Amino acid sequence: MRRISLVWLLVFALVWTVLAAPRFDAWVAGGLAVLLGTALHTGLGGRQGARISLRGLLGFAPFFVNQSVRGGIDVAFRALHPARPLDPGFIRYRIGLPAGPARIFFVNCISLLPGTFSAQFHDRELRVHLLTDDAEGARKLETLEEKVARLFGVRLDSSAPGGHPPSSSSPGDDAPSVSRTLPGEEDHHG
Amino acid sequence: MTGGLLELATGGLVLAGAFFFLAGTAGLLRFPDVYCRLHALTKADNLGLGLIALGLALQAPDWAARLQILLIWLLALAAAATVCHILARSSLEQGVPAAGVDTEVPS
Amino acid sequence: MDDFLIVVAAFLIVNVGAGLIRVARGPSPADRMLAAQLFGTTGVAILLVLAQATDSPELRDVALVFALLAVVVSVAFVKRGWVRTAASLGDEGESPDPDDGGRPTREEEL
Repeated sequence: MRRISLVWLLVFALVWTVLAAPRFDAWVAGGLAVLLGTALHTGLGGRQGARISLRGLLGFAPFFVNQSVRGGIDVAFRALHPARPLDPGFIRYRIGLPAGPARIFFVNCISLLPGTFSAQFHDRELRVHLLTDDAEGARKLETLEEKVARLFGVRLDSSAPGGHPPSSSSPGDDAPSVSRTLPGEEDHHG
Repeated sequence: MTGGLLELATGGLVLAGAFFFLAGTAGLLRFPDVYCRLHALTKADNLGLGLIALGLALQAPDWAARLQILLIWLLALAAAATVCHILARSSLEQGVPAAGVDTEVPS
Repeated sequence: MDDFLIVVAAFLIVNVGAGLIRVARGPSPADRMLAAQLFGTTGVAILLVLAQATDSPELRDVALVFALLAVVVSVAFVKRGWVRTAASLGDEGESPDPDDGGRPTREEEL
């Protein structure tokens, strides 16, 4: 625990150095902000211990940039095309990542990649909006989830608690467990 | 010599970035519902910002400024993902209808 | 180069202005709130460009604040703002399900 806090202390200190430029008088406010940031981070559950492997990061960054560029071009094409080709819809997705930073990171990444954003999520149930509602969307989510799992060095959990049919244990050879839903179809907050 | 090439690269990247901002605004105005419009804003605008940031980083006076630009872009990305999620979630909770959601349910 | 960047900044400002049409039209409160995101991202871009064009690095700090303010504004909106304006839901008639528009709002959930 203490070691992780120290890592984050260094990270926040580095962020401040970049923001304020290495001016020493800025460290009166900066030191306070760094301490406060670390305390907040620990208090808000940062203790769960995210371990990002450097190799995972080197693999993830090009993937992310590539997907971001393609996502932007895709949306730009649809927005400027005279016929405005869209086939939007919602799908459900069961998250296999363990609770914690990896899951949060995954949900946020979905919002930045082509044609998808996460609209709601509760425990493992994720509802994703697709710009073009097709089978490819769910496949993209699986690819991303595997990449995030590798980045954080965690394993995908395919067991499904809570009475839902279990999703496939090997995501490669079965259809992903998604279904179309109408917005507001089911009760929120249980 | 290299200075001229760098300027050219910056010009190209900044122009491309401006194009994606234009596309994002077009999507914001033309897409049929709030959910699709969120796509336009978060995808196109972030790519536009990324390209402009990259172009400007080439002209930045030192590495501190470049790091600062990179950090601003990353924070803008995180902000966009967060804003997108909370606006979509509360739209769903408030029952804002989505266009193009049909009733056919695959087995 | 600096003149070119000023032109780009002006173009981006026009872009934000065009986006305001969506804010004026709505129809749902979330559509209007898209403006916060538009101002956030485009504002950051404009400030970065101007920081370079006018050689004033302090504008980058302002850009940073812009990026973060969009989040604060949106959170404040969904937590405090939407409940009172929830009556004005609806869309441009493109929803295939007419029942959607008449769904009662769920104010008690916020």
